[in-house]
Amino acid sequence: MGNRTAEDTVLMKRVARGEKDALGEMYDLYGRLVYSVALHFVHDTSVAEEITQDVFVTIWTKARDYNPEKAGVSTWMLRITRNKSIDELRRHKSRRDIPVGSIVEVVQNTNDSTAEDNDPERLAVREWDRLRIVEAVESLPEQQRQALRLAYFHDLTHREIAEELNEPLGTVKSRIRMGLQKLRKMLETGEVTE
Amino acid sequence: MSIDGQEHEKMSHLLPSFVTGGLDPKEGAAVRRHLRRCSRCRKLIAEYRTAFDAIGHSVPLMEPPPSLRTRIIEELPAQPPLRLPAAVRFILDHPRAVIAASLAVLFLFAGSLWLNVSGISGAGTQVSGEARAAEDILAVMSGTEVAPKARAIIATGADQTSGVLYAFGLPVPPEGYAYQLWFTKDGIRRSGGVFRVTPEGHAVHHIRLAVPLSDFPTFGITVEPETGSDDPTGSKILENDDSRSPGTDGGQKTSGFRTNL
Repeated sequence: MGNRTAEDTVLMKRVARGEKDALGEMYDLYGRLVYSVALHFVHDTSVAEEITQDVFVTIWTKARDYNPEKAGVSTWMLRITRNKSIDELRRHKSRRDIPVGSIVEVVQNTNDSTAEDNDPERLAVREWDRLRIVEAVESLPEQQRQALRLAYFHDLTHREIAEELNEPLGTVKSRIRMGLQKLRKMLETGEVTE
Repeated sequence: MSIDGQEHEKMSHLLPSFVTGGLDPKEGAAVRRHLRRCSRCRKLIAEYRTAFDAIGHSVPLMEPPPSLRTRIIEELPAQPPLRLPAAVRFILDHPRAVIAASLAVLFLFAGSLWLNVSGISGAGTQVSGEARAAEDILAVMSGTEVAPKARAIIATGADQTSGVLYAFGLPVPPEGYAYQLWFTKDGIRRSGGVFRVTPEGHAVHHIRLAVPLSDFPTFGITVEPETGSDDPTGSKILENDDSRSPGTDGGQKTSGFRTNL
């Protein structure tokens, strides 16, 4: 993970110096992730494309403000993506009302290689990191995962989640707290617990 | 101010809800106040944020259309110009006045440096202080195209392994970044340490190496993470005006210094 962080920081510095090639490399590494997260929010491919473009333009213009001590590059990028996606949802409230059940039913593309990045070792390390995160999230009890996903992808308050799921507010709060505590521990220790 | 154990317990319990936007405004304000005082909770909240971000990282990956990459790169706007503080803009707008003032400061500074480092005081040495100081200027550095009007000098102490860098006209680097001085000889680089600048773009940085500074013919300053780098990774901001052969030009150092300023 350390090498990846260092590589990303160097790449970000090149972006900050105005190297378009570096932004292209950044896109090759994270374009799919940004697009996929945006699509998960808005459920519309053309809007997800617009958000992805907007995210990379923001990275291009704000690269000098990036502080590696505050967040890794991918985390920073995902936070920008989430904020822009939530803004989009707020602008078009109807998108926010997409039924809860559909939020995880996005078809997975089986082509996991990045066409523009041909360094297999680098790709493997990044894919390993990503799969570790996926595994940790998937290992959470369904109800905790569902509550966290509603908070993340629908930007719902705990009260709104409780109404959506028809559950008591205290139950929802407890699921979110326990889910996040478990996830934090798993990511910290690298050990997935059932 | 010490943090009450009960308060810490209560607030740390609220952190997951804080991160996921589940607190009412009053609770949120209380957590923010606590975070300002509690480093344990600041560390904890960063971990909770990372855990919440993992929800985003865990989405199944979808392939965007190949044309998107091209569109993004082709339609990139110009990057905003580097924001320079007012003092640096003044330096860039009035280079002659600044150079003259800096020259005066330089002689005073270098004179006191030599006297301090040599540890000798007394009328005899004071007489030769200024002249000797000028001979101890090891390098004059000029800004690269990134900061064309930045200037710096490196003055050495009597033992030659210590010295001081005095720089002005440096842009303030982004948060989390600082300047790092490099000494190079035969392709091998050695760090001369990391330093920050004042909001006005000035810096005084003390240097100490295991070998004489004059062994190195080339000096450079780059922007690096504030924790320092093993090798230069950022833009070169300053470089020495002449790449001289070490130990062959004693008197030339002074003339180079005078010529360049």
